[in-house]
Amino acid sequence: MATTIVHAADVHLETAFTEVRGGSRRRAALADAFERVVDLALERRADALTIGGDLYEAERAGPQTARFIFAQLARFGGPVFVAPGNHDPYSSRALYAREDRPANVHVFAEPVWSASPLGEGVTIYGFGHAPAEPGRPFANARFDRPGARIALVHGSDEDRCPPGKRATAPFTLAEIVASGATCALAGHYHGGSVTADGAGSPRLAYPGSPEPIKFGERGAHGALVVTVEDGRVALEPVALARTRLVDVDVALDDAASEHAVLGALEEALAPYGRDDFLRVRLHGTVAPGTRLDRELIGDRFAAALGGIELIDDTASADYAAIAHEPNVRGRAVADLMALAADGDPDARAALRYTIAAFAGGNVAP
Amino acid sequence: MKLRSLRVDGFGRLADREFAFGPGLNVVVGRNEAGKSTLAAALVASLYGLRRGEKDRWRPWAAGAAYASALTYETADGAVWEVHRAFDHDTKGVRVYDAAGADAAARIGNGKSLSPGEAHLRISLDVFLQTACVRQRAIALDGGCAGDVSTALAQALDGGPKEDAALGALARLDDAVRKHVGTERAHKNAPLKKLRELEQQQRRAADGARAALETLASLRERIAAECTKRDRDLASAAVLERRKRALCAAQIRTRLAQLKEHRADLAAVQTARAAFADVADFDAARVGALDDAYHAWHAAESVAGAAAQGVADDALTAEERRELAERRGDAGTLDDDAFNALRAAAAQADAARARAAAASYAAAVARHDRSGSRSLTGLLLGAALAAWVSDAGVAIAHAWLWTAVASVIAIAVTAGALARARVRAARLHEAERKQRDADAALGEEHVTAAAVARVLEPMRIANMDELVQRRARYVALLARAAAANKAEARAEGARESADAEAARFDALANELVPEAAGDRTALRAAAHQRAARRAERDGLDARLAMLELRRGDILHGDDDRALQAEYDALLAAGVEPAPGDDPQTLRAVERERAGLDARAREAERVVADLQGELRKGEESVPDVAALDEALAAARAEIARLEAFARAVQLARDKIDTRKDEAHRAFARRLEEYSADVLDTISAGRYGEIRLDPTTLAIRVRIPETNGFEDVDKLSAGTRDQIALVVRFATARMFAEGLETPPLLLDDPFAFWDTDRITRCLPVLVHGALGAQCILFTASDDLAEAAAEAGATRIDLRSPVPA
Repeated sequence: MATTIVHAADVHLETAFTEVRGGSRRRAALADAFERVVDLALERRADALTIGGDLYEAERAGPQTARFIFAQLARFGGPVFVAPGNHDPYSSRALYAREDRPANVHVFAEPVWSASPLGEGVTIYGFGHAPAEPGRPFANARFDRPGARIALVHGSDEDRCPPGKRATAPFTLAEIVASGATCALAGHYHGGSVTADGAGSPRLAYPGSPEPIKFGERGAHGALVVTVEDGRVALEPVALARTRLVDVDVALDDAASEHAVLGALEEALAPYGRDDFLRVRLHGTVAPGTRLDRELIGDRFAAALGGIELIDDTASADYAAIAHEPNVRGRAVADLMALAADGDPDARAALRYTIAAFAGGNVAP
Repeated sequence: MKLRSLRVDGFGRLADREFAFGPGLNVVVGRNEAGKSTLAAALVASLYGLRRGEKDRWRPWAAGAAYASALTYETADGAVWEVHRAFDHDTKGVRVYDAAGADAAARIGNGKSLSPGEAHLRISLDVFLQTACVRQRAIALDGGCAGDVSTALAQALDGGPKEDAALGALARLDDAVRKHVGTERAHKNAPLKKLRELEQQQRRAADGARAALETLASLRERIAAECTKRDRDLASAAVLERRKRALCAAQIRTRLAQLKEHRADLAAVQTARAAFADVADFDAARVGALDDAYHAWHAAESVAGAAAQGVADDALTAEERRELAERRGDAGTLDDDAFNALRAAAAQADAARARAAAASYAAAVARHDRSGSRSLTGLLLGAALAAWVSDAGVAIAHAWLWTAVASVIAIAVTAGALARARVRAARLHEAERKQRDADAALGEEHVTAAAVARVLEPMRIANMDELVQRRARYVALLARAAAANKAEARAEGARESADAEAARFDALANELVPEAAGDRTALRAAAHQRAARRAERDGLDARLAMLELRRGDILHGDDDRALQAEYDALLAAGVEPAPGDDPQTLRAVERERAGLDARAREAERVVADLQGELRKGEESVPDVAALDEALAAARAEIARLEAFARAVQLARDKIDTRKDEAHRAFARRLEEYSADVLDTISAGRYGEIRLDPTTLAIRVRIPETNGFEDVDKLSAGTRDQIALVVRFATARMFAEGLETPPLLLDDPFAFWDTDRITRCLPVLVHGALGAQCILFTASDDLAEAAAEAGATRIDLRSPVPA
């Protein structure tokens, strides 16, 4: 008989969205997404719901968050296994330690593996984060119970960890295989992914955050429906995200007026709606003196979008041509272009302001 | 700027004239007073307007001619402008139209006045006159305007027109920073400062919100800890309660057993006490009084007996009573005074007799002594006589020495004999006196003795001694009789007392032991026996009281049936009585239990307080995420403004650096630009000049000395050559950064020779680097040569070309 598990992670309830406006709406969207996770578990008649950490952000979560989480988990009714992550580590102050936690919720409170049998032939091994750095979860892990051994953990797949980014509770696929785990249901990466071994069996799965949290997250956003039958694991990613975080480039070449700028933006942003949070990069060379009023653009498009953030990379003149002028402006522009070429982060803006200042135009951030 | 045409309605001597100008060199030729300078002035006035005091100077000579002009020119950006001036209306009489005929005054005016020259050339009238206008024979730059010219040149090198040049750019950047960033010291319009203040507020708010959540978490933690502590205490208290109940049961069991024992003791004592009912009313306290009465009676009886014995002992015998009666008849007749006087008289008689005896004896002795003395005295007298005789013998013998000795002895013996004779006479006298005394005493003794005898004789008492004896006996008998009387009286009183005490005892005994019989000792013994029984009964009563106390101790205010019921209930509840019932253990358990209860209650109270605090805190939980977002937004805005400020500062630094370089370099540029032209004009003689950027003073390298000399030291023609070259260079520099002004050369070559003019013409045509040049001259040759070199000729004597 198959055992069904719905696995989710990285809901990040109560996170603060600082990249683009609309944080309140996005937090509400996170709560909605978590509700959909529970809906999915109910709909699939899941035998268990597993949470791979970072369900909420401890530094901002309060009693209201706890009530919401507990209400949802209680609504599921079946066994819920939670492996706290680095954002919701288990401690005596954690929401998980509240006395009103539903009885069907089992929290792996220690940064050591502990086993909880789930039905016949399936064992959930959980590893929870405490406030201290937990180290490598699978370093000395040995799972030897009969049947399918599902490891629930929050940490970084080192094979996937971007260079330069600090890994949290790192592990590798080889470590997972060596531990004897049939499959690791993990959390941490907000883009969902499934890693299979050479035989094609899934050994490591990230469901991704149910809703996108930050720009640039690659992979699916939703939950995983895990089916365990005869010791074999099958995964079905289910997309749950309603919001999108989109980087949009808008070329404003030859735009000579604010009207033209707004027109280009309208055309570029037309495909997006209220659930889309956009980071719009304006680029190209606009005519000198062409206004790019952030507030106006925000007012114009905020109602139609979830949120919009502008990055102004436009140029207001042919800097290379001006750099050849045998005068102060030309030399100053040449100097600034050299700095920009050297990677000075302020040089491009300084170029814009130089041209505007010499042109008598508006110099504004 | 390229002037295209000028239409003069009326300006000085010019009226209703129109001139068209070519883009390069234009030669305006006319004889003196033909209007060359007027035309130049009209051009300047069309661009800049008339200066103060010039209005009347250039008023049209022709009657009825309008004091107006219309200048058409093209700026470097290709725009064509038309300036209409009605000079009578001063600044209000100027209109500027663009190529489309639209009024462009709003675009080029500065709000107060409309000066197309200043607007499009971007240099002031003074600078224009100093750089672009060469008046007759005044080619050299005016040192008095050097500052303005230097600034204009520097601005030209800055890369833009006056307001767009580096200084303006810097000012705009500074304005932008002030406006969008502000300064730390600014109170108004300090966006970054306000943002930082806002950021601090939001950071405090976010920190406060986080702290509030921490507080709630701490409260939950404390509540859990208090609950754990409370539950632990309650569990311990439950254990202690079970132990306490076991100890209680044991203690009740013990008390019940004690009660049972108490009841048995009570019954026994009460039974024993019943046997003493006969002495229930006996007043044992009065037995002591009975004893006292008994002892008082006994003592009184003893006293009465002793008194009776005394009476018997002291009573006079019959003999004594007879003797007393006798003595009362003799010695008793004398009272004490008489007796004493009699004894004194007897004593006096005895004394007189004694004296008489003594005197008689003394007289006898004296007489005896007198007879003895008489013999001695005779002896001595004989001796003396012998001595004297011897002396006389010796003297006769003339043994003088012996005579002397004999004389002395004779004298001494004689003296002794005489002294002895005197003593004998004295003794004789004494003996006679004592004899007289003895006689007198003897007489007195007789008298006294006769008186005593007269008293004693009636009593038939022989002498005084007998009287004395009888008197003593009489006194003694009298005393004994008195003592006997007293003893009798005492014995009578003692008897009365003994009788009284006996009566008191009897009365008391009758009250205490009325049924008893016997003497007083037996009565007393009976009373004592009853008192002993009463004491025994009292002892039983005391024991009963003690038993009552004991019961109270056992019950401690409880009811024995309630105690039994409690014990039964404990047993029924499954409590197994403890083996021992040590009250101290129970008290210790109760104390410990009470302590745990108190701690549990305290923990409960603390939990209740904390839960209340938690509920209150949870009612107003802040949205930390929203606060963090607001904080992040503020920080992003701060970062944006800081990036803006950094970028502006970077731009400013670069512009400032390059501006300073330009300001330092414009003179060198001017020198460079001048060098080629000068070389051409001077036929290679002068190729290098030095220009002071401050005073615009020019020095030129002299080939002969290879040194630089002040241009004033050169010939006037050479000086003008060099000055013209500098003007060309200036125009060229303006062309780089500002609008190139048209050069108006009003007959500058008055001192030039033909060769120089010839060499200068190509420069005029081409050397101004695209600047339009209008050369005013009266020389037909020059005009001809210029025309041949490609200049546009404008002949003031000719009609204006169409």
